[in-house]
Amino acid sequence: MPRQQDLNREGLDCSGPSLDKILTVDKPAWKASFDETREYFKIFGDRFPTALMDEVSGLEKRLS
Amino acid sequence: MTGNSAVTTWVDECVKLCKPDKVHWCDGSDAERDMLTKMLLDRGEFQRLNEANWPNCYLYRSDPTDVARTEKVTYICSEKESDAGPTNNYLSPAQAQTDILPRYAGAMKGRTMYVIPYVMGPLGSPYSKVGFQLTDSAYVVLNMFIMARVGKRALDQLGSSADFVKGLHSIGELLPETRAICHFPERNEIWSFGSGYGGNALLGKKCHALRIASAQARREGWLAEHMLILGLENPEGKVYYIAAAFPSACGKTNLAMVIPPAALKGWRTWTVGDDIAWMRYGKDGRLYAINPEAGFFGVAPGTSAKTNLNALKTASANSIFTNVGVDENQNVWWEGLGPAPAKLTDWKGNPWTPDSPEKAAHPNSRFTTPASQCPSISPHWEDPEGVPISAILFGGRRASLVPLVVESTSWNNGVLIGASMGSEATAAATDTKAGTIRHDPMAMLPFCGYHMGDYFQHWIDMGKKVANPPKIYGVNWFRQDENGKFLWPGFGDNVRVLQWIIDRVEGKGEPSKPRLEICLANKT
Repeated sequence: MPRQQDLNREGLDCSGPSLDKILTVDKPAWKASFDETREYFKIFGDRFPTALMDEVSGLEKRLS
Repeated sequence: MTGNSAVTTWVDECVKLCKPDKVHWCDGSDAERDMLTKMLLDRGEFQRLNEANWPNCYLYRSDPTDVARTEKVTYICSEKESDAGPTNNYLSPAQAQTDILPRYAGAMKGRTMYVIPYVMGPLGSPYSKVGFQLTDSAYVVLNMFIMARVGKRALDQLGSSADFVKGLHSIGELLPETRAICHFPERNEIWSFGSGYGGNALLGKKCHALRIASAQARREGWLAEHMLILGLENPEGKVYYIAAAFPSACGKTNLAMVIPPAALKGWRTWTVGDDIAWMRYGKDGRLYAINPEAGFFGVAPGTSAKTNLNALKTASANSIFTNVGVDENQNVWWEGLGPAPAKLTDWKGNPWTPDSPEKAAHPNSRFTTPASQCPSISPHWEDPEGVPISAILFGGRRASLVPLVVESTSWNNGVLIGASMGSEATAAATDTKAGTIRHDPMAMLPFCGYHMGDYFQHWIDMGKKVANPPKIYGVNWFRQDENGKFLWPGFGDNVRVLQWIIDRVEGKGEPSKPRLEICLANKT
């Protein structure tokens, strides 16, 4: 993700705190959302690519 | 007419089934367009708009029950049910034959069957595909004239090849209970019955260019995606193209025609397409995208000089408006265009004032307009080889949690970002609860012509084909605070995010490359 200063903010009507909110991630909430996403992916059964499941697992590991 | 026997054999079969009084092969000429327009005016189905403000524009009102795509009766009729997957409605080819095909029997008695040869994609492009739509709706013909390249040019493109998509369409009696839209991916065939509207009836768009094409693309090793294609030109004159997927009602058309804010001096944007991208790797290993359509079928409500000036200018001539309001001077109006007139005729044909509880324009009302008229249309929008894509964006509509922009850490990580896309109407107080997110992977949920698990695998495989596939990014313009107010201004300001993405593609930005994990580490 960019930091605030990496974006061209000239003339941007978005406050510092607002920009900060949308450029950072709430780690516990993100992890919880992945639980939900994993649930959703179950509908694809065994045709869901292993490579993608590996990607989900890798991300979850980095989130814990 | 054509000497191509594969075409004529199929058309003859359909004529025998539907029993039209006349068969008219569309040549795509101006004279033919004028003739059909006059016919609809004489019938009272078209209303000519104010010639000064909306030259050569017409208003059409569809049946009030026929105002949007009907996903419940849209089917993938693959040979094997398992190949349709959990996200599609399934009907076996045999069932479709017994349940749906009989609806066409004699359905065109007293009518003309129009044969529309059309090309999806630029003329002369090796990646373009020819299709034929048979239809009994002149309104559909006139829309197809705008949305695809039709007529003799398409026959010339096809030549003697048997590689074409077959689309059989009849509006029937427009009865909702008779509506069905069937796709046969293994046979490149589409049946659509009982609707005269939009994506149900303009078969080149969703039916062909997404559902049939995505299955074709998987077989042939390319991608047919629900994406806009936008070029960004930096002050030095270099143009970078991005392809971006957003679910419906998330601003694809607005982004496709975006005007950079004044603060971004020297930056320009170029429109290539607003809805569908067909992408394949070129010999140089880059991913090239074409817009298979020739026009825009944009949502009218919300379109204004402020939200999408380019769309408004595009639609101001030679366009068809469906289900919008119209005033006594034959000017169209819709919610969000500007101040409401004191009175007008609403989309159902009833008198309307600003006090009316009803909307003047149906929320899904449309303009059908030629892409060539777009002030920001790219000079490369019809390049036969397409435009090279530098970055792919996946965007949802998430009120909470999802950041403004995230760079994927690898192609597969990017595929995961796409597969996780979703929409959520309002910000939850704390966590996102299961069930409040409507998942829409790659924005393809209603449009994937086969099992979506296999579709994800196809995306993974596409990343392995070349050494340097485009970088993938997740974006989200729609974060809200606790009071439901948007945190990000969006619209033209989204170009600031695209600028950062281009910087990253160029290898600029801080060498420490803040990545998602680092952002996570910084937040307690």
